[in-house]
Amino acid sequence: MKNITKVVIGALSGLVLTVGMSVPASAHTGVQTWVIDKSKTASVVNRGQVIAQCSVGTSGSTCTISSGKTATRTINYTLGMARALVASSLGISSAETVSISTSCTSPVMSAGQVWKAYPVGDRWSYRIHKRTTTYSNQGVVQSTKNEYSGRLNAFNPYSAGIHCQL
Amino acid sequence: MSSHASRTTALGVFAVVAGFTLAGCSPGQPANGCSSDLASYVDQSLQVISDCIHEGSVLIIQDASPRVAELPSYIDSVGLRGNWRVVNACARDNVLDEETIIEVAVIPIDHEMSEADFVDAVVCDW
Repeated sequence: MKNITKVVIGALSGLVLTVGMSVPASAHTGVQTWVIDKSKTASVVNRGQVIAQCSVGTSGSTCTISSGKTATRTINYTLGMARALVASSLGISSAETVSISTSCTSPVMSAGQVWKAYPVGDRWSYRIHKRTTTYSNQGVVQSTKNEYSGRLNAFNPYSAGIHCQL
Repeated sequence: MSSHASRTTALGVFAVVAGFTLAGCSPGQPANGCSSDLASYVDQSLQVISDCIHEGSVLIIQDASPRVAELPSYIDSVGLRGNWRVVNACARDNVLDEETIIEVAVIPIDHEMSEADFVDAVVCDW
């Protein structure tokens, strides 16, 4: 009799605990990111990246910069969105560098003048939108959180694009 | 290690080194028989050094024609680089077989280095 009582009391206790406590159901989180507010400016000279420069050693001579050098493809990203995904959204390669094969010759230069070469390419401006959604175990949306980055930039050099100037 | 194994190992090492030497590969040298000594390209046509630099390198060409009483006329065309003589050269980090910046001063191939002083014909401003 005592044993049966113990069992019943134990079972009833378990039931109370089950009903009284808020046992959280298993939750799932989904994250989505988008590149939004995109705009492109073509044929931008990136003066922040000097490919090479030349100061004449002979006054009255010219200087030619012949580039087989690589230029850097800049793609800024944040909010956990991968660089490759940002690149794909912009429709450009995600490779870090671009080989540039071209040359430019200066006009006749004097001592002290410097001939500089810069990459030319497309400049992109955009923002990243991140949505985090939490679902219950039954797939019901429990919460949604939206985050937005500030303005971000990307620079995509042309393979035959070089701008030279004094 | 037994003496037989030692001899075998030594012969194997010798064979590898000999093979590399015959193939023209030596540590610190660019491939294709090009010299790593920048001075060896002076008084040679521009085509020679052009064929030996890394494909990703920037080549800066100073037309030093005024030093031999000619107007500057250099126009960059890979097929015409043989028409120019290198009179001085420098390279960032002094390497040729890696992507780098190389600067040369040139005069028309029908002029000689003895016609002028070219010591300061390159600036190497990097």
